[in-house]
Amino acid sequence: MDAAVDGRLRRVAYDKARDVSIMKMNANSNWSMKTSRVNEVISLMKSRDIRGLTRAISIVESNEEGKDDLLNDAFRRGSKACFTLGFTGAPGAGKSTLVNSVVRHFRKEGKTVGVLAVDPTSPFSGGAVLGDRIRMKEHNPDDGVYIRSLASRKALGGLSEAAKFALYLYKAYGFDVIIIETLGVGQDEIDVAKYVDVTALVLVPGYGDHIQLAKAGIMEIADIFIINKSDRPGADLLKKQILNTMHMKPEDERPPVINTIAERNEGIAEVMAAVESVRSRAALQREERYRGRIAEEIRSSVLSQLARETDLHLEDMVEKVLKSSLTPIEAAKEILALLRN
Amino acid sequence: MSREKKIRVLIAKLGCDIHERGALTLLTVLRDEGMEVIYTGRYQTAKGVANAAVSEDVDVIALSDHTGSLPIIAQSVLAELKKIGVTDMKVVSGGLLSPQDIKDLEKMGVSGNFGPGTPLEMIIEHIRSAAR
Repeated sequence: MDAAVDGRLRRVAYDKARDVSIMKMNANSNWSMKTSRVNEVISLMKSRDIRGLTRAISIVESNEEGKDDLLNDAFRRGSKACFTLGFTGAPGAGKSTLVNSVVRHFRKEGKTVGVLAVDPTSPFSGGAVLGDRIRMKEHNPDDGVYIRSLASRKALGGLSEAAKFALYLYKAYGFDVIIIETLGVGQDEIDVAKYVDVTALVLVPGYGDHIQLAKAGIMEIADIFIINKSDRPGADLLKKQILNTMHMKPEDERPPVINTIAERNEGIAEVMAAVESVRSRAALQREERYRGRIAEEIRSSVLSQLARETDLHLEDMVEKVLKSSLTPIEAAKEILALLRN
Repeated sequence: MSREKKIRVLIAKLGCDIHERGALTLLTVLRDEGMEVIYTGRYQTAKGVANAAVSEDVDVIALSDHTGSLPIIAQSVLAELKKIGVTDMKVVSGGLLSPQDIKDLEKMGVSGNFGPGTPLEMIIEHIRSAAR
């Protein structure tokens, strides 16, 4: 191996080792400080101070010490009564604008609303522009509405890891309604349906022909189809095509299909009526969904813990593979054996 | 695990100012620097900006304005933050500023105060250090 590469590898290994030792140090020495901070956050949450919720989400999102305590507390106290509604669909379909109108509607009924809006993280810089709030700015001064923008970070599936857990924090805080908006998605990002009571899929005219609608994935998770920007040509055709895909289903199981022009607040009353009607239908499957969600969360917690512990051994194993006849597959087995002990 | 913590910045515009080029430029520039940037959009109120900053748990509020009223804007945002019990939020500003404005802003604890033509690197570096 040439010397430059070798030197670079050694430097990386050194940096990594230092990171790991700093991490271990932090975990020990700051423990008492961090715990008291988490307790403070929990008590702020209990007294329904928004600063508690907002810090709790940050702790969960950055995977800080105390995250588990926070989530355990939230899970135990979480209200099962609050209604969760998800919006998903392609970028620019009008999800945020629709959410804005729907929030307005709930506020008129006097309900408090928590919104979680996810936007994509750059795979290049790690940064993100979180722009969903711009469409919801009329709610900024309203204390009955809480909006939090989350970057997707490394998650696939349309939500961020933090968004899934933030849902519990929202429930513990006790909003009447929780709305999740996914980042702009394509065909296969269906996580949101596992986490909410009712899923609305937002489409716009020009989606594609009947074959696109027949494809598996996102079309299957919609409890409600919303055709936004319905002032554009093709809105009626799309509605017919969607209705055609479901003509074999019993009538009372068909998802409603609604035309809207969110920017002009047109069709929102119909969306709300559809949400109400689907909600009672969804109640039947709630138990099943809830089980699925818990399984998903256990799995996700185990995997993230595993990922963290694997990282601690990764650099050593890379070295070993480079310098001996060990293969990456054998190295993986070695790590697993280490983790089992 | 602090490496998972990202710098979060709220870019805000208050009042009737429509000049958004600066805010939009910073939006993408800060994104490319690995930060999570939230933009309020135009025509915000001080209470709206304070609420948004707290909701989003940002490290820095960046006020942008080109109507010559940054000291008034900053003062009203700081007052609203105080009302909800936030006294340690970092606030930076940029836009059209007179030398007197800069003095007034610094007295309030608002830093940066960048005028037209400021190199982007300076702004980025300032936001990084403010977020620390």
